[in-house]
Amino acid sequence: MRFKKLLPLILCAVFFSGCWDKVEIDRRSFITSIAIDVGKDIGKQEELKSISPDEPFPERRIKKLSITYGFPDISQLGPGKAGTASEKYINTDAYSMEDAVAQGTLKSSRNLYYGHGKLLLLSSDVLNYPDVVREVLDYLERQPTINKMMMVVAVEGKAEEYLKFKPEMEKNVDEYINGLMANSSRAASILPITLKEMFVNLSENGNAIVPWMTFDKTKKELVLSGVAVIKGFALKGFLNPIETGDLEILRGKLKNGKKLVYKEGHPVDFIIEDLDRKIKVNNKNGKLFVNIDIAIEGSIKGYYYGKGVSDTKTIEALEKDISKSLSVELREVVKITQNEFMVDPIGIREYVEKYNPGFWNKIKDNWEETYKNADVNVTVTTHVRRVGVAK
Amino acid sequence: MKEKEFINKYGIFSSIVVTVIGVGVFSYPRDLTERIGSDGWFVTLLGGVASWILFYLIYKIVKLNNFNNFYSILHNNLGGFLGKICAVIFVAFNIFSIALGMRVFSEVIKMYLLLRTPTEFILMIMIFTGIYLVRSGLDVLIRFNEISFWVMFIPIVFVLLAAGKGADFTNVLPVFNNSFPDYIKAISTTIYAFTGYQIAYLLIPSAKDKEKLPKIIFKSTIFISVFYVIITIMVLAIFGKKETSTFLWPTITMIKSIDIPGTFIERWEGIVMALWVIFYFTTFVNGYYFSSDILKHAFKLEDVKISSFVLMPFIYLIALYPENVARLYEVSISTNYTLATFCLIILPIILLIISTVKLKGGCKNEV
Repeated sequence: MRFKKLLPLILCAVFFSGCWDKVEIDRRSFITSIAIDVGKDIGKQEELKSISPDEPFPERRIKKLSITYGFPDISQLGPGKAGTASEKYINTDAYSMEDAVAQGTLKSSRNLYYGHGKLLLLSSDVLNYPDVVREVLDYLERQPTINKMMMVVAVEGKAEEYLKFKPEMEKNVDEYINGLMANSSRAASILPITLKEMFVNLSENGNAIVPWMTFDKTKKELVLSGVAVIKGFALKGFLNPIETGDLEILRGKLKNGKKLVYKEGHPVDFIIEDLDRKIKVNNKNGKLFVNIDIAIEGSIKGYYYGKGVSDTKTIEALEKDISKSLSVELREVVKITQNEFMVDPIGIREYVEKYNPGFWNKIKDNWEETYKNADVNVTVTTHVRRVGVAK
Repeated sequence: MKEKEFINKYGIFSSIVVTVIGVGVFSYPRDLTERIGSDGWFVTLLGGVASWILFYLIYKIVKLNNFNNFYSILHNNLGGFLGKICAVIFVAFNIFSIALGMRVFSEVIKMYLLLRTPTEFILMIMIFTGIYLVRSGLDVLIRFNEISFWVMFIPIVFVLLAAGKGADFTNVLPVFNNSFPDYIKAISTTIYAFTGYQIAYLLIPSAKDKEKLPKIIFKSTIFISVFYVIITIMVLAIFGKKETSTFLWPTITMIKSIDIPGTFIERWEGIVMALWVIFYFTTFVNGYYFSSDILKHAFKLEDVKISSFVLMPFIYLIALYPENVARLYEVSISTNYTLATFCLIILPIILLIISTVKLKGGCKNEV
């Protein structure tokens, strides 16, 4: 009798349990970085448009993309061993991102698994083909397993070389770049962007800014040189590190930055520790007037031995100098974004849309022109709070 | 016929909340943002008020009918034949909404957790587990709801707190920037997101303190509205309105993109998916029990054990019917909207009118 009661249970256990998704952990390779380059057939873009959607065998080998996957060598990890491992790479030539996975699988003894992605390197060559960029982005957005919090970096030249670069400090490049990005709280010119943030920016109007990295061939090191401005899914231009720092101030996102002024021929470093940004927007006859008020506070780091800075007069004079110098500098940066890029990375567009919706509805179809002709005024007020422990 | 009175206040509150909040949460921010942009949170509140009125209507009807069970109300007011037809439509509405919800659920699970497991298998397991609970009776079901309520909402509070990092709450601006007809259309979306409160027909007759019911109804509507508002605002704050409307299930994508500094948990989906299982399962079981209960009374079946088996194949077939995700949302919008409009708006109004008239007539006769 008891057996009769147990039988269904046993049968359930036998027939209803099963695992379609079983993958042993040692059969997976965890892709931590993806480098996207153009393939050798990128010039055949136009030719592809002539292929009709119902053509048989459309996969004729057109290698538009060249994707390199980096994954850690798991055998170097383990108890008693180092916390990070050097990377191994798979390079594939493919016509799309999914094809790259398929090609990669043919070259790999393990399952390629995206869930632990940390770094996405976009080659500047790819960024010259907005159609290809859109294809790649759609794939990255559509795949549920892709880690949307991975860092995005645009690089000059072939992204593959950056991925295979062996940095001095870390065992692999994605640890290195991620560590670099985490330093944004200490250096103003680093502006980390995650994949999610890039999607949010791009979905609004196809514009975004991405950290820009170059390779110094003589010194053999990676150099983070400001940001790349993407407009309409294509590379539009660059801001150098100082401009990037200024942009961070304009965005009100700066966590830690430095401002230099010369006093009697000696450099005085002012470290910005806190920042408050206020935007005011006015409009007259369709012309946009923007007032950006920025209040910064921080401390003096160095001046000239024997000369004190801790009397009110000197500090006030310094504050004035810093404010003036920075105001002009910031205005210049705004002008660059207005005239050269016609892209607004500062967030004025969002501001108008959010706080001035009536005006936004009038100008939204003509935003670029409005922004270009906008009158942007930047005022900086500086407060020196500390001067160190010397007088 | 009088029902046994055994459900306490908390039982009713938690049952209503867990029944209403289900898979709709996945896509709700997208639906709303597509229609109304950044005004979603405000529309949710308006929709909450509208739903509260409809909800209160149910209480009124049941009260006027002497706290009878749902089928008896239909039978007494509409007569045997019409009552049966209405009961069948009502059951169909419930079954459609839980079955299509189940398909959404299994699609989500297939996307994020069980990539290769067949849909049929996920559906079957879900239905069998559901039937097991339904057959144990209403008191067990209420207990289950009471426990699940905490299992669901304590972790979700932590998840949402973690999501707050990197959110830009100015994204909810601008407000009141749409035309009046847009608001009306959007409110209808919200009202459908509240589908599930018809479970009150089942709960109210068995409630213990009946005079406290309006208060509980109010509280549970507030809870659900606030929950939806928080989710909508969170998703908007993280993605902005353009990006929100590009995702099929923005709520899940939001949770996926939570990044906890220090990364003691790197991949959340496993945990969160396990949570969503309960979110959907409670909606499913309560809807299932309610349908089985109506069916039992309407066709004088012996008990829910039989009627639940009768309904089982329908759930399975309806859940499998849509060919793909796009079809699935099409089907659920078309069927659910027509059925819901009838069952949640038209039918209660008719019932209310008839019962009021009858009651007055009854009084006259007595005099």
